[in-house]
Amino acid sequence: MHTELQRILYVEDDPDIQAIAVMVLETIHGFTLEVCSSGSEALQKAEAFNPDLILMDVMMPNMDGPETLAGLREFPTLATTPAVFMTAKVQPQEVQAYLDLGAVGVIAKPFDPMLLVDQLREIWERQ
Amino acid sequence: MKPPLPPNEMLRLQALYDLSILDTPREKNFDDITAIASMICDVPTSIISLVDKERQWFKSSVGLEGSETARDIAFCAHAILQPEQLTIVPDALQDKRFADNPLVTGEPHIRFYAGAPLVTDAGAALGTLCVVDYKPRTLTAEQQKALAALARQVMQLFYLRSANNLLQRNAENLQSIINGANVGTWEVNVQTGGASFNERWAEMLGYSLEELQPLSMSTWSSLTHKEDLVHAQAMLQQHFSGRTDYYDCQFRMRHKLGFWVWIHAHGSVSKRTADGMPLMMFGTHVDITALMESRRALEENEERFRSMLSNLPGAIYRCVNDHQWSMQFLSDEVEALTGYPAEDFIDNRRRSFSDIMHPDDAGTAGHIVRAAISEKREFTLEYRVQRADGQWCWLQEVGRGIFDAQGHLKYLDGFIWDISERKKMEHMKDEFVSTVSHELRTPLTSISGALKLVVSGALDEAPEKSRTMLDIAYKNSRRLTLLINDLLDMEKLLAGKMDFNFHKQPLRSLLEQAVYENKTYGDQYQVNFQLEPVTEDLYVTVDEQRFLQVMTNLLSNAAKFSPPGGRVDIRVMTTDDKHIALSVIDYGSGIPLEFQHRLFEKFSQADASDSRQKGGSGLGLAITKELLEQMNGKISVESQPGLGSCFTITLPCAE
Repeated sequence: MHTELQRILYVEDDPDIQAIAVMVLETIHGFTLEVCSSGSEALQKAEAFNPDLILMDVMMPNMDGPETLAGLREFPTLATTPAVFMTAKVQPQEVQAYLDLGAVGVIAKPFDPMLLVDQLREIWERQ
Repeated sequence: MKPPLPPNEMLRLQALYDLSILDTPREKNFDDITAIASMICDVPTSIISLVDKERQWFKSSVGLEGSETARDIAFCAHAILQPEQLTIVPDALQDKRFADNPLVTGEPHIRFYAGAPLVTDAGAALGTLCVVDYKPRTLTAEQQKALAALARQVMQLFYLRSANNLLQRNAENLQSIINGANVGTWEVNVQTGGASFNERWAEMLGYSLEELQPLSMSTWSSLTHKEDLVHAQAMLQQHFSGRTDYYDCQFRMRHKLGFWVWIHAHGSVSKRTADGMPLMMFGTHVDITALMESRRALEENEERFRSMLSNLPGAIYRCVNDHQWSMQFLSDEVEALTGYPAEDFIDNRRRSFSDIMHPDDAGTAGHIVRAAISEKREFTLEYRVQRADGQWCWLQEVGRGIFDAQGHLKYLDGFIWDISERKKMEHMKDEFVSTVSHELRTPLTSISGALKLVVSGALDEAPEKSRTMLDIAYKNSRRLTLLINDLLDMEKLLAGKMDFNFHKQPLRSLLEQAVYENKTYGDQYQVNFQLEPVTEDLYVTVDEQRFLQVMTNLLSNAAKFSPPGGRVDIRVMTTDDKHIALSVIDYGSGIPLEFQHRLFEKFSQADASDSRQKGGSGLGLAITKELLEQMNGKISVESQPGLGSCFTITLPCAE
C-alpha cells in the first residue's frame, strides 16, 4: 500500500482542536479531509468519503473512539482502512489496548501540530 | 573380759538414738520401776541401763551413785548379747566374763547380777533392767518372771514417751506455723455457739483475748460489719449444708480504734453430730487490709488508665509477633474501630486480628513489621479491616517491638486508629487532580497547538511585537503542559497505577540516549553534557522510558542551575559487585543546606520564586525518587552552595 496518503477521515468533538488539525492538515499540507464532530456523524459520512486513513479522538461523548471504529469496520470498504487514535491516555498498556482494537498507531495529546503530519506519514509508511 | 559387740550393733544403736532418751533427766515412771524391781528381787541395787556406743547410761537407778560407766566394764554389755533371755550371774568371781571386772575386784564389789534385756519390737536389745547385789545369790523363778515383765514395761514406757514427744513436737510445729503465718485461729461449737480464738485473732482487731471475754460466736458477729455479716453467714450456711468444701469469705471487722480491718476467713467443719449436723468447726483469720488497699489502688490505677484510653481516638494494643497478631491486651476502643469487642481478640478467643485484615494488606504489613523489628525501630502500617457490619475501613497503626534484656522480642506495643475519612479525602483529592488535569489538557491542546502554529511561522508572518508576545504565550503553554504531565505522573505513581516494563538494558546506550535527547535543552542554557566512559558490560533492569524520564529530570535540573558555558558530568561507578552508582554532577549554584533534606518532597523548591525563574513544577525530583524506587533504585544528593551539586542514583546491576 505505497500510495501517497491523501484522504483522511478526521473525528474530533472539540471544535478548537479540530480547527488546529484542519489548519495543519488541510490548509498547510493540503490533505483532503472529511471532518466529523461525533462518532455518529463519522458513520454517516465515512463510506461516501472513502478515506485512506481514519484519525480519531478517543474520548468523545455518546460514542467514543473505539465504538466508532467498531461501527466503521461494519462497512466492507472500511474494514481494513488504517485507523489512528489521538488520546491523552498513553500509558504503555493503554496504547497496547488501542492497537489490539485494530488501530495502527496512537498519537499523544497534546500534540505538536508541527509534528502531526510527520507522525501520520510515519504511521502510513509502516503500512 | 571385754564384751564383744552384738551382730546388729548398728541397728541397735539407731533404735536407741531414735528414742531420744540418752542424757534426759530422771523420770518418775522409770524410777518407780527400778524401785519395784529392787523390792521384788530383794536387792539393794536396781538399774535401767542403756548401752551406748562407748558407755552404759542409766535412765534410772536405785542404790547406785553415778549415771554411767564405760561400756567395757558393763555387765549389761554382756547381757544384751542374749536378747531373748535373762542374764543371771550368781557369783561374779566365779564367772570368767566378770572375775577381772574392776567393779567386782574393787568398789563396789559386785558379786551378783541379773539383767532382763530391753528389747525392741525388731529384736534389738538396747540395754537392761538389772538388779545387783554384793554377795553371791540367785533369783526365784517368780522373781525372774517379774523382772522380765518389768523390762517389757520399760520398753512400753519408752515407746509411749517417744510417741508423746512426737505429738508435742507436732503441736509445737503447728503453733510455730500459726505464729509464723501470723494467722488468727478460731474454733466454734456450731451447736452451742461456744468459741475460742488465739491471741492473734484478737490482736488483729486491737484487743487482747482477755478484753473480749466471754468468747462466743457473737464475739465475732458483733465485731463484723453489718453489710458483710449477711454474706458471711450465708457462706457459713452453704458450707454447713455441704455445698462447699470450705468456708471461705472476706469481711470487715471493727478495730478497737474504730476503723475497719479486712479479714479473710477460711475454715471447715471437722466434726458432725450423730444426725449429721455440724458440730466443731476450725479455721483461720488473716488480716488482708493491706492487700485490699493495694487492690483498690490498683483498681483506681486501672480505672484511670482506662479512662485515659477511652479519650484516645483509637485503640492501644499489646500483641505477640505471630501470624495472627495474638492480642494480650487491647483497649475497648477497638470496638468503635472494628465493631467487635476487645475481649474477642484477646488470645484470639473469638477471632484474631489477622482474620479481619484484608488479605492483600496482611503480607505487606508483616513485611514492614519484620523489617522494623530487625532494626529495632518503630513501624507505621496502613491496612484495611472488615468491620462486624461487613464494611471495609482503613486503619493506621504505629507500633514498636518490646525487647527483653537479652534483646529478644517479647511483644509488640502500639496504637491503631481509623483513617477511613482521610483515605476518602485522599481518594477524592486524587480523583480531583486526575480529573482536573485531564480536563485541562483539552483546552491546552488547542492553546499550545494554535500558538505553535503561529510562532513556527507556518502561517502568515506575525508583526514583530506580536511575535514576542506569542513566543511568551507559547513557552508558558508548554510549561503548563509539562506541569500537568508531572501532576498526572505523580498521581499515578502514588496510586500505584503506573506500569513499568522492565527489561535488561545496556547502561551505556541508555545514557547516550539520555544525553542525546537532552542536548537541545542543554543548548538553551549553553550547558554541555559530558558522559564519562562507561564499560560496555554494565546492564540494568529498568523501564527504558521511565529511566530516560529520570535522566531528563536530572539533566534538565543540572542545566538549569549551571552557569552559562558550564559543564555537567555524568559518571558511572560500580560500588560493589551488585550495584552501580550513577552521578550527575553540575558546577552551578548548589543547594542551600537547609533545603537539601526537603529536596525530594513534593512541591519543594529552594526558593518559591525559583519556579518562575527556572520553570518546573516542584514535582520533578519527587517523581524521580518515586520512579527510581519503583525500579529498585535510590537517589541521594550532595551539594555545596556555590560549588555545585552531585545527584547519585544507585541501581542494582542486572546479571
